Amino acid sequence: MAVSSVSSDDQGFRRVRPLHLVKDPKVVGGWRASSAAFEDDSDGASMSVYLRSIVLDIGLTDKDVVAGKETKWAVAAIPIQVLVEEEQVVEPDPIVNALVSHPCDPAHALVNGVKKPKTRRERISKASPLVFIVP
Amino acid sequence: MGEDQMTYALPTWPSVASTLSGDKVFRREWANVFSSGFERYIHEPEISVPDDWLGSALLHLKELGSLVPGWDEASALSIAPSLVETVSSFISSKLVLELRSKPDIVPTFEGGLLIEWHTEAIDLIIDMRPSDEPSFYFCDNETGEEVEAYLAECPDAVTSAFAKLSHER
Repeated sequence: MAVSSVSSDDQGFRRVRPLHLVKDPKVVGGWRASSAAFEDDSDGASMSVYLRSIVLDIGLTDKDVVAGKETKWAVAAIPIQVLVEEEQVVEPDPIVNALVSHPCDPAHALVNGVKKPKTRRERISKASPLVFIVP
Repeated sequence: MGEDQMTYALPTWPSVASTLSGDKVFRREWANVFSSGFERYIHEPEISVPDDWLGSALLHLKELGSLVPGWDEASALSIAPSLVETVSSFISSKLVLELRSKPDIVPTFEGGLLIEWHTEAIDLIIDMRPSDEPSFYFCDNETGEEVEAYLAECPDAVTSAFAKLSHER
């Protein structure tokens, strides 16, 4: 099993674009993120999340993860334990001096690991409820 | 594809066993996919009755087809017109339109499209990519069994998935 430096009790807040929302009657609210939302970035960088513990520590909430985003952008809360079980390694990667800063930059983290199997991405998706959708 | 393989899912899915004729229909339709390719299959006769869902889905697909490279603010690829056309034809097919549960269509960063059904009974994702054979993910939520394969590799699982979808109420 992969070793992560982040507590398995933590969660990773993942921004989900409206195009990646799908209907699922099995989840509260009837919507969740498609597995397509849990891939590494298209530019080759590992998947980004914001660590819930740090977001809260700096006085922000899940809503701040999608600050400035348009309606129907959403936040999925990925249990770090699930990422570890799926052989992902979560590494804190606080962003400093960004050209375009984001309020949650101090909580930024990278999710390293192979995400190619659909089974893996779908399991991550199913375990990651939407905790906020921009109205 | 022998009859012994056909019993693959029957022990755990009695509803499929009790409606074998319906299952055979799906098997025949999917046989076209595997013998002659996805593109030929989707030219099966379409249902002519107007469908609100279909109209919305085709419009959504058109919008996906107009995504520009970098639509994710990074390096995501656009969706090839041929792929949009293929998926448009598929979701317009009798097989899809007769299902009570309608799929969501989702773009991928690699320029692909996912056709996703999520119901109480199953999760089915058909993965259409511009440079690869169609593949799928299927999870039977009653048994927890998951299958991930190319469409052509595991036709019985796809058949069973559609049989289950056809019984959704």
